[in-house]
Amino acid sequence: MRIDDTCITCGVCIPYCPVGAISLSSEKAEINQDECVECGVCLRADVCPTDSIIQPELEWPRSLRRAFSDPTAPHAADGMAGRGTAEMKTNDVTGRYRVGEAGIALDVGRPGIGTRLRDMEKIYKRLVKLGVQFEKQNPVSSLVENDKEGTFKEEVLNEKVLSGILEFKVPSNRLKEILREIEKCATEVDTVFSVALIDKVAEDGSMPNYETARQLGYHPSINAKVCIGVGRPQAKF
Amino acid sequence: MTHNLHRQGTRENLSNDFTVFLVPARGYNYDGAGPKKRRFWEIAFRNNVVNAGTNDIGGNLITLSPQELLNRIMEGKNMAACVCTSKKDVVNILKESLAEDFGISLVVQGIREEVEDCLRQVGLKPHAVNHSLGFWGRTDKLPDREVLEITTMCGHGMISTNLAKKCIEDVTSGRMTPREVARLLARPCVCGIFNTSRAEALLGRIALRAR
Repeated sequence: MRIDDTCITCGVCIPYCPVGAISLSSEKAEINQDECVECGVCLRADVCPTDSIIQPELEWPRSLRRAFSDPTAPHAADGMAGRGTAEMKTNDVTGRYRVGEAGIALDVGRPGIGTRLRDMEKIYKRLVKLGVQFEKQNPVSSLVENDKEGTFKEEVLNEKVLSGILEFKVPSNRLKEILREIEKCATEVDTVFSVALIDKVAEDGSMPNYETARQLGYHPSINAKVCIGVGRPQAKF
Repeated sequence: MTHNLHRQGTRENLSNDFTVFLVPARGYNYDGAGPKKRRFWEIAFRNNVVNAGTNDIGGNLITLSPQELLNRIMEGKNMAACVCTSKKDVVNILKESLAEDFGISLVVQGIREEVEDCLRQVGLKPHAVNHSLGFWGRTDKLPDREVLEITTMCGHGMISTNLAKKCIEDVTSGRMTPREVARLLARPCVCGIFNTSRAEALLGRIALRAR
């Protein structure tokens, strides 16, 4: 995002920026191009009295910032607006997660801090070493240079995005090992990440991954997202 | 919208916060999903929802009228979302949606026990559940709980910490009312899942305490 010379330095746009990249100089408001994640919030807020905020065409790899940060912009990788797959939301149809599997989604940079793709790579590499297979339909897969090592393309590493989701599933009996490894990642990154754990609910109503997480000392939130199982065609479980 | 389940709050202030989604699945039931999303929203609009939207139509129920939202529904991709403030409304939306037999995945976000109770009332059980294990890493960079309770009501992080802080200042100073500020905060959340009613209550409480 950029602010052109018609800016009257009113500063009304400043608080809207999710990453605090807008500041006032003596002549106009300016957007720190290194920090801007190209989310477009400042423009869509429609608060600039002189229409001075502009959205320039972005070239690779800067275009990744918008793709990962602006929910109204489709990813070049998969043509979808948004940052990940529908994960468990359509599990009744896709059958992506089954009993005996634990789905995990790490929303790196969220809430509200943002992340360099370098930090996402750190987590990705650690988990690849444990044999984790990441979701191929997630746009993060387009960043990967070397599947075996989990390295991202060098030119993308310094790009800053509002967040990116690392999605994968593991056998439930590996959940402890994987969560402990993610704890190590948490000490190595310069940002925050949200951790989501997915259960396909068993016939008897039990949620084994939730129970495992509790037994390991984690504290799942009281609120959750529940797929109610009415989509069609129904997946076979 | 994975972050939608990471809404922060207490049992008390989350108890009137539910999001219901109709979610087409790519490769399975995209075709014909547009009219079904329209019907879903028509059901939602007559059941007291306080917000609604999706990320591909350039607005939500705060910035657009119900009819404008309906007119902008696109075929296929992306979900339709709405925000309820009571279990009764969630149950009614589910009942009417089940009667329509959309054949498209329905998802409810809220306090899990409350959502399960809604499902019991319509004769269903959870199929899959996404749990939040919280925020890890540099949590020292996060703002305080009151700000997070507001900003995490946007699943995509479009509501900035600085805007939430400014709005809290505007309310505590008496420059704006909690209702005005709640509607202003809802504008950047393009998917329409920001709960203006809950935000108004949270901000009203902050204003009372400041006095």
